[in-house]
Amino acid sequence: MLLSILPQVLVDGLTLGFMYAVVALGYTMVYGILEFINFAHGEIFMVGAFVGTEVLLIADAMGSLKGMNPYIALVLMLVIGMLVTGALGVGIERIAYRPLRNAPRLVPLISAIGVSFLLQDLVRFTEAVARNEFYLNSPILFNNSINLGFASIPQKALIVIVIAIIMMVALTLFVNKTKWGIAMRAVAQDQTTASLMTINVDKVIMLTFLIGSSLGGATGVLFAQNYGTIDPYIGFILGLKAFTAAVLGGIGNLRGAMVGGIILGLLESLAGAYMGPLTGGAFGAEYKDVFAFSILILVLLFKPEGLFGEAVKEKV
Amino acid sequence: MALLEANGLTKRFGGLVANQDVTVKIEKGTITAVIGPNGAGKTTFFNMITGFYEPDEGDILLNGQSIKGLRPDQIAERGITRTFQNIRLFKEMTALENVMVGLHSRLSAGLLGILFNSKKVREEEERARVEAYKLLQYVGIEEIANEAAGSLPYGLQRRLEIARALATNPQIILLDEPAAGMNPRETVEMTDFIRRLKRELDLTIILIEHDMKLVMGLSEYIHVLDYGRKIAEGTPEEIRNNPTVIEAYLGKSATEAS
Amino acid sequence: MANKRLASFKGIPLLLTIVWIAGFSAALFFLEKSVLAFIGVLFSIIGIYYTNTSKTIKLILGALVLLVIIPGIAGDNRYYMEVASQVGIYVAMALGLNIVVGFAGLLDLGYVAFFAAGAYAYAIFATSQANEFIPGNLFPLSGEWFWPFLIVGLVVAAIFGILLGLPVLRVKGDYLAIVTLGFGEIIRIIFNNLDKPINITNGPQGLTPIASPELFGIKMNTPFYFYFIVLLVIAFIVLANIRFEHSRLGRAWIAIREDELAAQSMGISLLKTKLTAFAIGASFAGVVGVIFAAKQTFVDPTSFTLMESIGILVMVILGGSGSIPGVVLGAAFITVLQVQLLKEFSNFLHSLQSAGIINLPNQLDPSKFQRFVFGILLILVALYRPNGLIPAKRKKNDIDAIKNSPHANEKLGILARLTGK
Repeated sequence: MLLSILPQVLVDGLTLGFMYAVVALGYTMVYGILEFINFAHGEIFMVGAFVGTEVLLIADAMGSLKGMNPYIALVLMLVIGMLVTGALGVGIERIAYRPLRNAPRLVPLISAIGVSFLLQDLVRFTEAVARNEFYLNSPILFNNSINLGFASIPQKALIVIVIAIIMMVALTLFVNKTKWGIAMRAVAQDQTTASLMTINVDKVIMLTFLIGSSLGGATGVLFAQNYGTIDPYIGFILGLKAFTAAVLGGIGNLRGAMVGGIILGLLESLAGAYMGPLTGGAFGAEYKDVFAFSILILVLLFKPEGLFGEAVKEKV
Repeated sequence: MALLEANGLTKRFGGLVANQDVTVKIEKGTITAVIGPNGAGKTTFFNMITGFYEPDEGDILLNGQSIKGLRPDQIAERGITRTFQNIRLFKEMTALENVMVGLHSRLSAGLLGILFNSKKVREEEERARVEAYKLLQYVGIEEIANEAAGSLPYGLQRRLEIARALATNPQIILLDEPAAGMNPRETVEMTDFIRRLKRELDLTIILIEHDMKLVMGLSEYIHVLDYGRKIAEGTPEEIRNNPTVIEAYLGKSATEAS
Repeated sequence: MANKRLASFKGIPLLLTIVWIAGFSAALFFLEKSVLAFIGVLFSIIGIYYTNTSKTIKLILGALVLLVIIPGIAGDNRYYMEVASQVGIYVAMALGLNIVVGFAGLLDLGYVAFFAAGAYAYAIFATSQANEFIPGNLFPLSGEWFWPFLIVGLVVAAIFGILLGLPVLRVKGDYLAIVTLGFGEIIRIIFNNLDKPINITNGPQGLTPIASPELFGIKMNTPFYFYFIVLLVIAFIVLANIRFEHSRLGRAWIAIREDELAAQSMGISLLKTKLTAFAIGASFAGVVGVIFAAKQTFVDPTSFTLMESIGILVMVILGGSGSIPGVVLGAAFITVLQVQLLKEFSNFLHSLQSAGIINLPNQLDPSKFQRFVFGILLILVALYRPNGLIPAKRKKNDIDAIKNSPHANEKLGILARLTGK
């Protein structure tokens, strides 16, 4: 019985893992450039989920969803979700982080924690005014499953995976092949030298937030489509886990974040399914968050540079 | 036996070899300079001696005992102290308190003693204040004892950093570019001051410095690093005339031309 | 300019402070349930701190307000005493976190875990819960055990602090925030699920009824008594904060906060020093946890969420990280804001609603705007007042006293080598 659910567990884990991976990219990009944990990134993901779902709900209320190709609806949700969250990310950077770039280490972190809580309540407030509830049930565009015999893959999970892969490939190409991508890598390596090479550091940082946030927002849209119900607090734990994924892969390293996310998703899914039966019910799925945090702590203790990162030397 | 021996120190960062097989012997009561072009690995060498980096290979002996693998605070307790290239003071604290931090491992106040403000702790604190103040006097900056360290002018910060290092009661003090950013007059003052440290306090001094005039005038012995390797050692006179050193500093063409 | 004006500010004239205290006390006495008057009396403590007078008079005035006026005038009003003891509980917790965040610069987002440890330590043994895993039907313990359990809570939380700190404090810089946050959540999840395999915490159902403190046969089960218990604990914690701040240990904490590398090269062991800060901060939270459990007579994991940790952090940051008066002010302000102002405002809106004037959806209830308020406060403080309302400042040493010290002629440290040269 334990083995028979394995394929399903793996599919679930993979879906979750790809979401962690894309959100992890946002953490890792910002950390790579500013050495700063953007605490609010999980909330940007959450905002993406709400914006995407609202797009769908509004379109549905206007009757324009009927007869619309679900793929077009999805693209519409993604584009609007990414635009809003991208702008949000840039705005947050401009207002709450940039003035603090030379402040003591803890100050921008505190500001980011503030932004994180503020966004949660703003979304709750907005939804409460608009719909009198703080959570949303999203209509699901794709309800089919593809039956492979040993497992059935829901179409919506497949869509998460495919779109996540497209975004990861696009980001990799952008960073490696375009002028702005290369500027980003230069700033990540050495801000002063990069600015001497006439790279506009402020613009690059803005761009980093724009891209990282819109990727996070898009993941939010996918999350809502995959799980159906969202509330303003979904970003917090997911963000924490995506951050874990970024650390696991080696913070600052794009490929590391992707691999880290997938590994974490799989591990979490496996732990959720098998921890209970294997410990005779003593420690069940309710401990799966504990499991993810433990990974974070273990990695930070024993391999702080992560799986793919290089050991950094301290600047003495 | 030399006071401090570094035997075959090697330190790598990823693919970069910051120090390779560096061997240096320091005799008690001397002033030694470690020089070399930018990026030669001088500060890496200091960081290994003071425990901030652990060498990948080689050993460090203080009085014949290995101190390799010890933490920086343990090495400080054993009598090796340092200043930093880009001055690292505790900016919010007053100058006096900065020096009192230097006394840390020589004080013994524990949790309960502090909590109940025992007579022993009160006396220890008073002694510490006196000693810190005297150290400020010794380096000539006692007027600013109550100023926040971060608000002091550059020259005074350098002196304060040295006073703080002296508070640990060291045998060896490592000075990382003590005259950086100073004008010629200040540099001369700093040179005299370092000499005084050695003469009056029996200190063994190792310094990194780019100002060749200071190095040649002050040090009794010089080690030259280039690309992480030691390329020469000797008295200032020997180093001045060493073709390898001149080449490292001025490039190959310079030696060929001369 | 502003600094000069501040420097010439000698403090509030004594007379004004006394008028303030007398005025608000009178108002509290004559007006029935005036929240404003009560807050006025409560905050006169801050006024006293800034009064231009001697230390002794300040202490006398402070004691007068806290020990005579508040319990004397408001003592029979359950609500005021409840607010006052809640303020006290948070002041005590914030002062504990101040050691960790303010002095040692360690951003701990899981502080409430230690509060939970203390609360559960008492709750488990002061209810029949402990019978679940200790045979002999010895429990619940009677209320006299509350007093020794203050120490037990302290020790348990300190041990917790050390056990958590040992791995966590090796983690560098900003990661610490995330890791402590993770640990805080782990502890809560564990408390929530530790009703199996052995039922230790009774899981989500929580523990009740927890025995109220007893002393000489008096059952102390009203806010009036807790007010004094909390006051006692605060006095101890404030004293500890003051003593630590300017000690060998306090200097080591601040040195680490300012520059870890320089601190190490001064002979300060990072792990040991951070661990002391962590354990001391934790132990204070543990003591307060015991009081909290006894006061509420009920604990469950929902009292120990991340929001509690964040709330306490906001108190410290807003008031002034590392500044004892600042942290007291921050804690008092945030607690009053939460338990008083937001609730009052929400009651006001509800009364409008029941009068049919407005329509208030449940979600828009102001008392639910905790996150919003905390978020805005954190951002504003970070941007405009990173050192808090009352910034910490280091004490200036009396140079004349140093020069005239009996030790002034001793040969100390390295300068002893100067002899004969």
